[in-house]
Amino acid sequence: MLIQKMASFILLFASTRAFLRASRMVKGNGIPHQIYAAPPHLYPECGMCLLIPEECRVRVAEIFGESPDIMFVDQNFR
Amino acid sequence: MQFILEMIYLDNASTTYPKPEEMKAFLATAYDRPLGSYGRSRDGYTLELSQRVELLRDRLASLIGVDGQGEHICFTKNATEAINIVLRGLPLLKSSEVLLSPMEHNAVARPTYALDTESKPFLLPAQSDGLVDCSILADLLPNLTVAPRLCVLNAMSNVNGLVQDLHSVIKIVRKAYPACLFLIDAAQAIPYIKIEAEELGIDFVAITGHKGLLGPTGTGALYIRNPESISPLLRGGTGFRSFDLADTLHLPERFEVGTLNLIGLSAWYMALLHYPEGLGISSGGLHSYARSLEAGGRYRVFTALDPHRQGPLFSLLPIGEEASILSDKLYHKHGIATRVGLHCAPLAHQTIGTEKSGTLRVSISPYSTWEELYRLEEALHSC
Repeated sequence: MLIQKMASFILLFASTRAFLRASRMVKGNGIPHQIYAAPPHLYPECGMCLLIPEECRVRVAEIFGESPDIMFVDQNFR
Repeated sequence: MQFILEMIYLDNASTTYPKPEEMKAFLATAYDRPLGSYGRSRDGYTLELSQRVELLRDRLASLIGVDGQGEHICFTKNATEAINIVLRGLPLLKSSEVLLSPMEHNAVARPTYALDTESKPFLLPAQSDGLVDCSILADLLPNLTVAPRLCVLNAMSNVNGLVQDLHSVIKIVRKAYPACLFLIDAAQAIPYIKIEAEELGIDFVAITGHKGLLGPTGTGALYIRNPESISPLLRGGTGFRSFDLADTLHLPERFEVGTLNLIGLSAWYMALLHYPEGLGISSGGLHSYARSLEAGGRYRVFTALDPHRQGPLFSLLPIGEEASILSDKLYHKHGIATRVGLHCAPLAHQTIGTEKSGTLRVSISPYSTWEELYRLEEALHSC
């Protein structure tokens, strides 16, 4: 099921490794997510981003803490 | 065909055989589905294999004592490439600024001697089996005319299986030259010995996938403690910061350019995931076995002097016969594969005194059995 973009946020990554690690962690924690091409006007570092429902934001923040390789971006990003 | 199936393979220091079944099964079907490129493609299968690549980094980091630092593991096609990255990456490095342990492979020796034609590296003093003589070394080091910038240590010899005393050598060199960096050639050593890179303050560790780690050929890695300490050997696309035309300091991308060997690295991960538990033959047991081959007076055997410093390989020489003839007899009459020659390690042969003859090398893997070694012993008696 597609996650509604208007009720979601995205995670951007500084590297492929950071993206893959985050993908593994959200999947392992049962957090719904979808993989999208990262919007280049936002952050062209890693080519991929994770789209996550807004209601999971607090939990995701708890999982990742203050990782320097991950950036949270609010909705309306496109 | 029957002959090949029954072959006893004792050339595992060249490349190990067999490999874990799960790895073989993966390789046999890897291209049954569309597969993209690590860091570029976003389809599910590519991402699944890319995850294995990252888990492999983490596992290798753990194997060399730098847990949680997987991004410092940069993939290469083999240990030779990893070693070249370091030797050619240190700015304006000269041969005379390099310390070499006495058992170095040409993967180290050739790129070191190629640094410049005006000088030579300093070879560390050794005992007859290649173990660095630390008491002599401590006296020699203060008298060097050029301060060393890099010390390269072979962790386990590919000629006699000697496990070098990394801890003592690093301690002595660092005391005399605190700024000297350390590169460990661990091609033969991992996973048979644990290299504590963090604890020993090692700067670089060169790793290969296809020997003791049971992966496919074409896979290797380099641990780099500080990405700023060396320049990249190769430059190109990383799928990362594509607008930036300057070198990145970010690891592992700084040293991984072009399309990564996604299938090979995924296969290597599968091999580690399904690694056989426990060595069938201990290194101590192999040392005793090897020494016993000298009993009849027909063979000279080359091992570590100390059984505790023995790895899973040794060399031998038939007395009064060419090693190559013996190797051919073992293969054609008994179906036993060994390796003969200098094993690309002339410095090691100079150290143990076999530079004119080379040796016949016997090397085992976690899958090797005592039955196979008894068959070799019988063959040696009848040759």
